[in-house]
Order: sequence, then structure tokens, then C-alpha cells
Amino acid sequence: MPARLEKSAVTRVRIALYLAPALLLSLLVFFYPICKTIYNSLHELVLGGANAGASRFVGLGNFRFVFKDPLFAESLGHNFLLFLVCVPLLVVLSVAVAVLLNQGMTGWRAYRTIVFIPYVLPIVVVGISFGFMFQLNGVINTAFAALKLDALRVDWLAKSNSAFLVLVVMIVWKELGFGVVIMLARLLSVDESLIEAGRLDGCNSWQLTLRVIVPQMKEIIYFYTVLATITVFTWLFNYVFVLTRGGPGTSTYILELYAYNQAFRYQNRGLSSAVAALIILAVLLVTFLPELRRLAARKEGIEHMRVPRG
Amino acid sequence: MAAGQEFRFAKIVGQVFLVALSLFTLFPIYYIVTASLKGKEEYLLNNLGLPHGVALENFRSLFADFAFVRWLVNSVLVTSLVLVFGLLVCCLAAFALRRYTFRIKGLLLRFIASLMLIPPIIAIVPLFEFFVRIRLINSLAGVIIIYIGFIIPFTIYLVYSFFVTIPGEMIEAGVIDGCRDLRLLFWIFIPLSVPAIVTSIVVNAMWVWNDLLMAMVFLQSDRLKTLMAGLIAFRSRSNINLPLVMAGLLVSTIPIAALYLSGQRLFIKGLMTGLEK
Repeated sequence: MPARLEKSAVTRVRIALYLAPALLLSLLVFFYPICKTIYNSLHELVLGGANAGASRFVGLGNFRFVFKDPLFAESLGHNFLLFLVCVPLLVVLSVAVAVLLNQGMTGWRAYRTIVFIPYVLPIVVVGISFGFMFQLNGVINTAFAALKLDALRVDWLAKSNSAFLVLVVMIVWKELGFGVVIMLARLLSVDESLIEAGRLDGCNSWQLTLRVIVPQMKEIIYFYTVLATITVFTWLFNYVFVLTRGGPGTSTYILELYAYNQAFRYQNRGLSSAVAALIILAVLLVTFLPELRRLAARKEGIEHMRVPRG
Repeated sequence: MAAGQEFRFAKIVGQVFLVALSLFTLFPIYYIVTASLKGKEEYLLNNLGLPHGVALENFRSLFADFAFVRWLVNSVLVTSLVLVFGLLVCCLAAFALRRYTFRIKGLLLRFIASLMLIPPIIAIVPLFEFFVRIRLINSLAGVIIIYIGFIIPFTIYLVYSFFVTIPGEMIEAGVIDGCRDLRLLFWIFIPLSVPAIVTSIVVNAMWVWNDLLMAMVFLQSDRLKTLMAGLIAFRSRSNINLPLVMAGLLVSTIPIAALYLSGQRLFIKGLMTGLEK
């Protein structure tokens, strides 16, 4: 039937028109940069001479250099340390707070609002404030002096260990609220009949929490752990840049800052791209390894869902 | 009554924990607000306590600062344009995905979802070089395009997950009543997906307003900076007048916090529906 054929052609054009802007922009912002990053990571930029600005193929040279660079190893180590410290803290605290609030503690609404406030504040605002707070003559040290804890009055951001500690505190402070809110929302749909059954079996509230409620949160805990892990490896640039710029020395350098500085401070596009390519690889690994396993069980995984952050 | 005692004990421990956590959370906010109300000399003598009075001089000098006002205007402009055009683009795409069936639909949805995890840092260098070539560096239009691109995966995914729940009969009824596609979108799809629209407005506004990386790389001249990039410059420029900087931080937070508060109830609902899907 020609009429129908015509209609379907019109429909096809329509579909294409509706999708085109979104697809073109995704190609520009995601697809092209990923391809170009991989290309750049295998080339180096010719800086001087007749061919200045051209690309020269160097194979895995950039990667070899990066793997030998002590600063890269140090940055990667810091990312791992942040992963080991921040992710468990965020997961445990958000589950604990959510479970407590869900038990109808007095004032739980107020607590929920308070815990969520940092999520709304811009990282730049948080970073600048924490920077001022932890100055030698800052408000934290004034508070310690007032509490007669003079041993704790140090120049927080001038020493490696304490600067790293401040970074950890700031990340947990800012990120916790989001975790609490998604855990709480999951708790709202916990199967009440199971809790009732547990109660009839004589569980106390502590046992109920550990044996009945938390196991039901498995999926959301897993989801949040993946999310926090990705955050810690790939979304911390703003925190570090505002608070310490990697210092003192290189003690708070992370992968993203390494990639950023190689590109925009030292004009080493190839090295920067090699690190970016590694970050892409890591994200793919974290996302798709578990995904492949789960694909059989669930076709459409919300595990992908991520809320953009600054 | 051992059980009752144990229960009461757990409750007390829980309350103590929550109070401690609240104090930890509120302290930096207390600090920002009080410091912004102090004079320069007053702050040097008393950085921890409450301010003597409500001195608004910091806010007055902030708004007399031409650069700061300019950054504020830039941020409002960039954020609102990104939201308007970004939502339009995403609603159209989500509409096509819901209304029609076509061969690569499933693939497309999975592709969009997987883009959500790509961190901005990896796109910076290629986009920078590309934008230098097409002369879109140092232009608000340039960053607006980039921001729209970055909000696409999340927004399409969220809006689509609401569009899917619209019953087919309703769409059929609209078609029988003679609604063309755009009318369907604006009269049936969008009104039925208000939580998703509000959630994406709030989440994306926070992301665009709060972003530093793109703003720093793509907007280098001082007068084109958005607030977040501006604040970094402002900090080093006014570092002897700390209360003034704190006032700047507070003012930069208020618009986005107000937007969040006004959409809060729908925001949590929208986010959860998206998550549960």
C-alpha cells in the first residue's frame, strides 16, 4: 500500500528530527571527545619546527611515560586512598543515618533536611569555606583553643597528612546527604510484612535492622557503592582544585588534576590524554563488569543512573 | 525489663549520633553566614562567635563590585538557557522514544544510559581544541552548548522513565482527538511528567550553576566568567577581606538553594521514580 509506505517514511523523518538535536550534542560532547582522547593518547603534539601543531604517532609512548612518572603513581595512590577511606565511610554512614531516621526518631524530618543541605551547596563555596576554616588562624583552631585542645591546633592545609584529612572530611561532609536520601527512599518501600514477621519471631529492633531491613537494601547499597566509587576516581577535580590545588607539594594530587595540569599547565596533550584514556577504561570496567554479570538477570539496569554533579 | 532498657539505650545512642552529625553538618554553614555578617576588623578579633550586629556592608560592597554582578548575571543567563534548550531537546528525544517503535530504540536507550558515567574531565582537551578551531572559546554560547550536551543522558533517561508510564490508551485518545505530535508532547506527555521535569530542572540547574571545570577552561576573560569561576578569582583578589568573600559565597548559594527548596518535594519523588525503574 503506497499510502502506508508514505506515512511510515514521514514518521521515520519525524523520529529522526526529534532525536537529531540530542544525538548531535551527545556526539559532540561524549563520542567525539572519547575517540579524540584515544587518538591523542597515541600521539604527541609537535611543539616546534616546521610541523609545529601536528601530531606524531608514538604508539604507547605516552602510557609508558605516565606509568614511569612518580607523580602519576602518587596521584593514583591518592585516588585509591580516598576510595578506601571515603567510600566505606559514605556507605556505612548513609545506611546508619537512614535506618535511624526511618525508625521515627524524634525530629527525623529536621535531621533529614539538615543532612541534605550540603548537597545543595556549590563545591566551590564548600571548598573556599573549608580552606578558610582550616587556616592556621581559622575558625577550627579557634574552636580547638576554646575547648582547650591546643594539641590539635595545627596548620591543617600546610602539612601533607592533615591536608589530606581535610579533603576527606570535606568530601564526606558534602556527599553524605545524597546517600542518605536515596537510602531513605528505598527504606520507604521495605516490605512491612517481613518486619512484622520478624517482630512476631521475637527479634529486637537491632536484630530487625540487621537481619531484615539491611538485607532488603542490598541493591541500593550496591548502587550507591558503585556511584561513590566512580565519584572518588573521576569526579573530585573541583574539590581538590578549590581546596589545595594538589598541595602542599603534591600531597593531594589526584588523577584528574594530573590530567588537567598536563594539558593546561605543561602543554603535554599526549600525556593528559593517556591519563584520560585510562580514566575512560576504569569507568568502563567499574560500570560494565558487574553489568555483564547482571545482564542475564535484569535487562534494563538503573545502575547506570547518575546524577550530574559539579 | 531488659529488652525495654536496651531499646531505650539504643534510642539515646541514636539521638546522640544524630545530634553530633547535625552539628558537624551545620558548623560550616554557621561559619559562612556569621562570617559574612562581620566587619573585616571584627572578624580578625572574633572569627568563631556570633557577629555584634547585622552589618550588611559586605553585601553592599559586593553588589557595588561590577565584576561580581556581571558573574552573577552570566550564571543566571547560562543556567536558564541551558535549562530551556536542554529540556526542549531532551523532551523531544524522549517523546520520539516513547511514541514510536523503531529498530535501534533499545540500543539507543542503552547508549544514552551508559553516557551518564562519562566524567567531564576526559572531554575537556578535545573539546577545547575543537572550540578553538571553530572560534567558540570565550563565548557564553560555547559553554551553553557543552552544558546542554552533558545534561542530555540523565535528562532523557529521567524524562523517558516518566513518559513510559503514560498509558497507551491516553495517547490513542489524544491521537483520535486530532492531536499532532507536538500537541501530544505539550498537552499530554509533559503535564503528566511534572515530577520528572522539576527534578531535571533542579538537578541540572545545580550542576550547571555549580560547575567550575568547564567555566574555567572555556571562559577565560574575566567579564565572561560564571559565578563559580569568578569566585576563585574573587578569593585571591579579596583575600585580606575574608568576610567579603564569605558574603560572595553566600550570595552565590542563595539562588540555587532557593530553586532547590521550591522544587524539593517533587524533586525527591522524581528522583526515586527514576531510581526505582
